[in-house]
Amino acid sequence: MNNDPRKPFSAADIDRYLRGEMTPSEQYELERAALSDPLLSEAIDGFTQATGTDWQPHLDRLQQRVQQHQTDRSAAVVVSMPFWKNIRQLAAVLLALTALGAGLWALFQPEEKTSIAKEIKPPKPSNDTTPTTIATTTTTASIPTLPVKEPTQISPRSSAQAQPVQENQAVPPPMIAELSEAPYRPAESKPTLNTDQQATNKIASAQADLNRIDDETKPGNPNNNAPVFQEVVISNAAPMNRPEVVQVEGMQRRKALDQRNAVSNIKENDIRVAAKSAQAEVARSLVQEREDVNPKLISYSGQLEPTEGWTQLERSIQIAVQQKATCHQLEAQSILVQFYVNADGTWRDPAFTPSGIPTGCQEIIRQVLEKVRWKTTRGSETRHQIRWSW
Amino acid sequence: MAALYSRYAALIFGVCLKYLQHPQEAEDAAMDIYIQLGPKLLQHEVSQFRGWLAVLVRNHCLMALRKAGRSPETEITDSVMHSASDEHPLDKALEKETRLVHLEQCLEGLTPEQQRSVRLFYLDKKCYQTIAEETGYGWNQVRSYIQNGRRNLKICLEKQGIHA
Repeated sequence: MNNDPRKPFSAADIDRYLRGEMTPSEQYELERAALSDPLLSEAIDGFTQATGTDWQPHLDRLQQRVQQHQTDRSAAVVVSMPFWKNIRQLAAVLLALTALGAGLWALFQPEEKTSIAKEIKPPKPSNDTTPTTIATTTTTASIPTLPVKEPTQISPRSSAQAQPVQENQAVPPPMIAELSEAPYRPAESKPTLNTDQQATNKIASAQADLNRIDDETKPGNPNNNAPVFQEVVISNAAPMNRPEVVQVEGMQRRKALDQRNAVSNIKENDIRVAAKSAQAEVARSLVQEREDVNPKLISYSGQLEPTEGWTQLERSIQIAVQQKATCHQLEAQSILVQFYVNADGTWRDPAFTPSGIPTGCQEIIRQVLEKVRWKTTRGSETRHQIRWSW
Repeated sequence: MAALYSRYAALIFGVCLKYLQHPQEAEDAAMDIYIQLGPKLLQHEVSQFRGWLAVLVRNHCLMALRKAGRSPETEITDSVMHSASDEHPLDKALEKETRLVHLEQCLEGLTPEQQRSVRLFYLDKKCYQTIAEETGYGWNQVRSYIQNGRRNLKICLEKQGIHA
């Protein structure tokens, strides 16, 4: 919507125009505006056609209706405000009630009674107060999640010292009865830990229990008056590479023992992993060392070339040099070496062709020449040449 | 919105009066247009408000006539035909010296009546009534000559590559 700079003509202006009350200049302005303003042009047409009709009251009433409509809309907006306020308040209340209900539902959720009741087998009543390793082990294995430091959690009804049962008395299964009569305890809100943290905490807890058990079961400890049995735990972990005899008591001790084994296993695994890692490192270093000592070799073959004045070699020479040697990296595919062989079989003054053979390559060829026993003809010095190609 | 509408209320009423022929119907139609104006402004991107409003009012009146089973009794004049979108830069072109040559050539192409009326109106700035008195043409003839001549000038100038 642009700002229209044109002069707005009112109904009164149009009325004056139609009545001929405008000056020629004013008429011209209105007519020119109407040529480029379809709204004005058609309005003039409309008023011109209604000449003789009193349309001014209708125009006044139209303005009143517009104002009234605007007033009604404003009032409607004012009236509607409390409604929306109420809606917002109602929504807030509903939200709060929902949150409260969710909180209460979470608070009164049972702690998986059914699954525990299914898993835990009630101990058989027995007058034998001497626990055995097998019995303890069996019971412990079935209660992997019981906390270690809560001996009071085990109800007397579940032990062998439970009160005698009267005849004809309906006795529910012991553990189920215990669970159903157990006092309600709201679930503790435990912080969520990731797997590493949980493992670390578990190991630390097990280590603390282990230390406590060790302290309590030391010979001569006055607190060590609990029923004692023995269990042999064999660990292959490095810190515990000999059989140990650990004295434990009751299910909690067995639990701690299992956790200690878990710790040992963890350590053992760590050691294995470390050993593998170290082995790999050693293996890598050995390979590197072997490569340094026995580098890969590359073969060069030398063949005598008959040249006037130079003695031919009667056999080819195979040499092996380090892969890092520069001879085979030369642009030329062969090197011609000319040298003198002294009467004593030594050689001297090698000349290389093409010229500019790298020093490393020359050194290789010299070493090869050193390893060959040269023979002179007729007991005097001879001249030899050999072409090394690759 | 009420203030904006009030500025154009008389013109809207006049346009409605032109098509509907009855002041009361024109009043009701103008009121309906006011109620529809706000939502329609939100729906459309309006660049030329007066032209857009003219089209809106005309369409509303034509729809009202169609619903009532009536045909528009108004004569489809030249002003109706090119009032919808004709926002020609002729006024600006006439004021610029560089375009006067082309304008003069195009003026030569008009009919003598159109040419005379246009010259008197645009160059001499005389109103319809004065032109009618000077030329002896009728008032409606003068308006028609000017409107038709204006349209022909527009076409001619556009052919010569003169635009807004």
